[in-house]
Amino acid sequence: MGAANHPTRPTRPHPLVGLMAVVLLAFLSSGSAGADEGAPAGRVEKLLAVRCLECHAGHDPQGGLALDDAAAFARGGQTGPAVILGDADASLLVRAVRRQDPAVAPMPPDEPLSGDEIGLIEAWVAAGAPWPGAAPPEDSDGSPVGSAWEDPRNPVTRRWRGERIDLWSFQPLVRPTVPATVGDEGPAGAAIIDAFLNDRLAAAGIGSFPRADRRTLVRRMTFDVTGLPPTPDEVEAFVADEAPDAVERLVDRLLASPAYGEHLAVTWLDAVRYADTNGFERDELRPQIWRYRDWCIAAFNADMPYDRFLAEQLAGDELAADPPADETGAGALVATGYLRLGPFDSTAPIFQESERHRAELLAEIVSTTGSAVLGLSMTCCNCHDHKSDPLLQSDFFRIQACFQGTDAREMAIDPSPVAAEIAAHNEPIRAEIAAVTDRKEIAAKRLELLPPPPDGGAGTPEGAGERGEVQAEIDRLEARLTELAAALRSATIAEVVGEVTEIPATHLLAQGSHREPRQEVVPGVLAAFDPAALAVAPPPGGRTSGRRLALAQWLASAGNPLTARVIVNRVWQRLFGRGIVATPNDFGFRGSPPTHPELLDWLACEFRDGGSSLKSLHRAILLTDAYQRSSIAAGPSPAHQADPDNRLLWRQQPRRLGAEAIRDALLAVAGLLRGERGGPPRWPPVAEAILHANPAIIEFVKEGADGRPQGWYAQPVEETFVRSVYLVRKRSLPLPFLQPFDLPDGVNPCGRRDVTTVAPQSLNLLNDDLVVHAAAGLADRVAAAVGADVDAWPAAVVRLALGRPIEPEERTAAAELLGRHIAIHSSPPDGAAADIGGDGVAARRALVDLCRAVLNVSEFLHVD
Amino acid sequence: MAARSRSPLPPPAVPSRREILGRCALGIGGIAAALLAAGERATGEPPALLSTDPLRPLAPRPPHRAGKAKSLIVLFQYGGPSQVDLFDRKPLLETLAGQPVPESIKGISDQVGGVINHCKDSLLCPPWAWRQYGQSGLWVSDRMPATAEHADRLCVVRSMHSDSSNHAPATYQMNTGSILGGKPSLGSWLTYGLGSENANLPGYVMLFEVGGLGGSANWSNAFLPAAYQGTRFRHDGPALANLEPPPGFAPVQRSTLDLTQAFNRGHLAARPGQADLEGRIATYELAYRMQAEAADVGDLSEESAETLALYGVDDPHRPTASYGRMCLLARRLVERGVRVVQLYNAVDKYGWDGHDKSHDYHERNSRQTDGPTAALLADLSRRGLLDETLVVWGGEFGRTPMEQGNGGRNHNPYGFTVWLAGGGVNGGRVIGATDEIGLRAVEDRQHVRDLHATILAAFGLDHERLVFPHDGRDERLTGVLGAARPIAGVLG
Repeated sequence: MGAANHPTRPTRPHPLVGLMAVVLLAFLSSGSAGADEGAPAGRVEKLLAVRCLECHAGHDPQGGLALDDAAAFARGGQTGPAVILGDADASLLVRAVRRQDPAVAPMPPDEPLSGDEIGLIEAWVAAGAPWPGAAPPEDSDGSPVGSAWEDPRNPVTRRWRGERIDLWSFQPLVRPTVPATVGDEGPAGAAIIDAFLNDRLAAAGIGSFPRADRRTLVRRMTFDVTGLPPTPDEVEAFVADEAPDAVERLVDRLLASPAYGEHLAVTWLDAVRYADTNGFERDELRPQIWRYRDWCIAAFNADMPYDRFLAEQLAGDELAADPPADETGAGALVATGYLRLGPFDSTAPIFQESERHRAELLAEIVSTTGSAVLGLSMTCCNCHDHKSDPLLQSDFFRIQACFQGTDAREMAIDPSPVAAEIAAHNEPIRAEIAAVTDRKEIAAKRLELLPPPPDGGAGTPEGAGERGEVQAEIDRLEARLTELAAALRSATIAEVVGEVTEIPATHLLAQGSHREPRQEVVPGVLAAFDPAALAVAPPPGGRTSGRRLALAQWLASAGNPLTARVIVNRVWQRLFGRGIVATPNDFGFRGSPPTHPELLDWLACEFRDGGSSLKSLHRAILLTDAYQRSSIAAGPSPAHQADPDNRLLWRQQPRRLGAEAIRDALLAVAGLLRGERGGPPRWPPVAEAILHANPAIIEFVKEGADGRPQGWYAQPVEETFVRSVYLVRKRSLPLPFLQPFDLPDGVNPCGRRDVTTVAPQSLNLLNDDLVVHAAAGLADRVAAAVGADVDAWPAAVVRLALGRPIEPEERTAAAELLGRHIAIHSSPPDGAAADIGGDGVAARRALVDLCRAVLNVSEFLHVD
Repeated sequence: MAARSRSPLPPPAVPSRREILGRCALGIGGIAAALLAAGERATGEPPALLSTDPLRPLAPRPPHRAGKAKSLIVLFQYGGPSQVDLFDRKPLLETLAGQPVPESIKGISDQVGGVINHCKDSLLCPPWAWRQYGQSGLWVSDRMPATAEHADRLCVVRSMHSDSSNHAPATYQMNTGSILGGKPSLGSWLTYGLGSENANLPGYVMLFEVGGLGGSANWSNAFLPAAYQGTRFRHDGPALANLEPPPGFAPVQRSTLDLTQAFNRGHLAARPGQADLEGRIATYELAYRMQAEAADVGDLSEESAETLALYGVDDPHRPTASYGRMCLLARRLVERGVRVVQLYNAVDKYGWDGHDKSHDYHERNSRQTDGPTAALLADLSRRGLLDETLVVWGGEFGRTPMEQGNGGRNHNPYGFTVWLAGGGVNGGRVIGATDEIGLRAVEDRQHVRDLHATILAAFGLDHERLVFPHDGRDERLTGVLGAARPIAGVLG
């Protein structure tokens, strides 16, 4: 689609808007109370707009009085109705603008209306205050109502009178023309992306930076794709690889690494505010929810098509049989854990707040789906029509109706062959358990019936006589029972979602309050696209209604341009530090418009039409010149002057590693990172002073908390040296090492992490136990590589930690540190224990110090 | 990332009248929408990228208008202290002790849920005497005699109400405005709005033995930048997490850091103008200075014996020792320019939460807290700090006048008391009232949002203008919904 009919900026109205305005005006003018400027109503409309609406409009107007729509106006404000129809003198509005009644606040507060203006309002009220353009068009012919752009009867069109629907992200997704300048070298996708970018640079007269050097590139790519540093060998191999396809092979190797899925999962888990615990007062562990995290990682590594990825999360139980037929079906069930990720207050029933909390949870899943999948800020619509975007309050509840029947369940998810196997395995064991239990009970009865030992047991040898025989029999049977219980195979339990049979009606809630239900709504999607009821059909098996499946299908449908744009933008953001849309969770008017709208749409079309493959998308972007550009400016350049924020991507964007990548990199270069992947969350040790300040943990430690899993289950620290994505995310106690590095709170969906530089980061990197471990581990690797040759240590440390040769001045400074520290450690200051073992120990300690210093450097935390 | 200093306080965006007139033909609804959207388009910059100076996120910033308060101390009374036992005297409870709730009050529905019908239909009378204090003649029970001596400094709001009868949601609401958590806390908003006066300490400090129910969400920065989160400052052991070098590394700390910084300077030199790298270097020095500064705050040896006795921390076995120490540290922190200090009273997970034997809980908690609270007010006053330090006392809700269990009282979000002092607050004043048994706020009702708006106003901040754009909304402490207003009469 060319630019002429494809608006790229929200400030440019959609061509239909002009038409709509004309249609509406014509309509309004034909009514009895048209917006004719000459008529009193029209003049009052303008007067109110100019002098009153600044404060008296929208959901939260001053004094509770809104003058921007007929219904709100009729309701009046906190002090009562604004007008008494036909009685100007009694009307608060008139008395307020007359400014003569001490009991009524003078309005407008800043500058009085003129006498003429007051007269106009008086006359208008006396005439019964005809509301300008209040009568809506009728649905006269009963035909289906179309989208907001083609049908004036669409409720979004009516609500905003033809405005608002020019939102760029709502425009149909149409494949843009590929620039004529596209080169014919290299992979086609990358060349097209570069052409889109380079056209803009050329138009702006900005020259781009050259490609980054090999060493920088391999480090950047490895961190971006896997969240881990390249090993020194990987760096050297890539630097030495002169084959023309070296970069392609690197990209393919990285995308094939299981670390790709682990790292991409962090992005997704942020967007859906994943945590392992409930939050609120008790903050219990959700013991099986990690399966959802592992499912995400596996789905990314298997390059599951994105539409399927979404469908399984929203409606996996509607896609899979129960029990599932295979592992894919089991995965689909696990994926519905998505619907249970939100904070959950298990104490709500105690205070009869369950009903309220249920309403909150339902609202929350709509908001999260809105931001994660659609990139829309829908939270506002829980209470009122969106203030700037073409979203209705009823949209919120139509989508909520899709989730209305969800029911949290803990269930076995083994595929049926496995379930059958387990059943077959367990059947004889259970039969034997039953038989042995019977025999044990009989024996116990016998024991009761036997006469007690004649002397009360004293003097009788233990186990002698009939009593002894029976007791021995009981002991044998008990031992057997223990054996049998251990032999039972247990089912795999997951925290999933099913659906209740009788789905309660969904009502629009006034102000989002569950105590104020209004009209019933049926499942639907965003009315701007389709105001009709969602076509819902129960999937085979008939266990569920099909509502969520229908929603998932709409999300991935051609009629919805948002889903593809949003996910493509998330991937772009991962690889450039900033999205084409800088506000990944807000594609509305309040968000940032796309810097390269045609490129975004081209990527979205490629993605949608090419099987929704996230790996292909990554691959195309990673192979661009733009991605591979240097980020380093030696000094001020003309590009800096022209585009200081690098919106046009004349260079790569340097960036700091995220919280997980920092910790993983520390462990990796120290040789401490364990290869175990997945499974229940690991619990690193946390200082007792922190644990014992957490009320939920105190309750667990001191009183057992009735067995609720609300403790901190610390493991030996070495067992927690896995990738950070596998560490526990406890909502009331974020991991102290990760938290200062802008770790999201696990409560708010997070589309883009902050990157801040604060003192607790430095305190952690200098002083935390983890860094001491890492420094010691790195020292071990240095010693293993170059032995006790102190002069060789600096270069080895820099090579292993930073993946590059050491600079001469760095070598000098590092050697000085070693000399200084060997002296200090050999003769510790008063009070410190002297080293036993002489220079070797002092040198080793100095090496650990050097490693600790290098693990703290900016270069370790930042990527060029 | 380029360093960009932007005020967090955008002026209200209003299109020109000509623009409005130009849009008039589209109808009032269209104009309203245009008014709302105009600000974003006019700036030409996505709101989510607005930020404070990333290199100096805590640099002091001026408020919207002059405000007397410069620092905030929140004395959070976890568990829900009983208004009818402390600051809200109800003679009718004495008359009706043990009798059913009057019909006139009973008829009102239990909207929040689970409060009234979990109580007996029997009123529980506070067993302590009440006296009037100060010029103002404020009634205070014998559980708060020392605090009562400051009656003429207190502005007592007896008509608070909130939205949950459950600890964690109510605590979240008192701290963040939202019963769901996940929003920035009051202290985060204040430090975001104003920065802090001491660059070597966190701007927003938490003091507690046991933090509020619901954990870190109560002092979270949520979607505000990380510099504005509450930092726990311990009063037993190293003040801040990882403040001190790991065991055995102290003698080489500076020397190690020097090498790091030498590498960092070389790295920066090759990347001129990269602000986050400059920030990294500065932050290491700040972390190093913080070690000395934080240790200095916690060192009470320079306090006089009289002061230590005043706060009740002269003997570690006194019931006041823990809370008193937190109060004294609060003074020392605000003295050094820390913007916000919040402490939690509780030394266990119960605090004032007396579902059974409520009187025992109130005996114990008042013994622990009354003296030090009074000491803090007196000490701030004699040092000339009270005028610019706003002190706020209150819990997440109050308690029922009806009995629950065996001499207990249930949670009560319908009517409860908080008080404010210092920081420009009108002392010796009572605002609002509960019904005749102290169950519901009936006169001059004030929501938690109003309290938050009041606290911000004391600092010269307009709660409607202290906004942060997040995912398409201009978020604010008092919520994008619902009307909040500073409580009339609190500020001079």
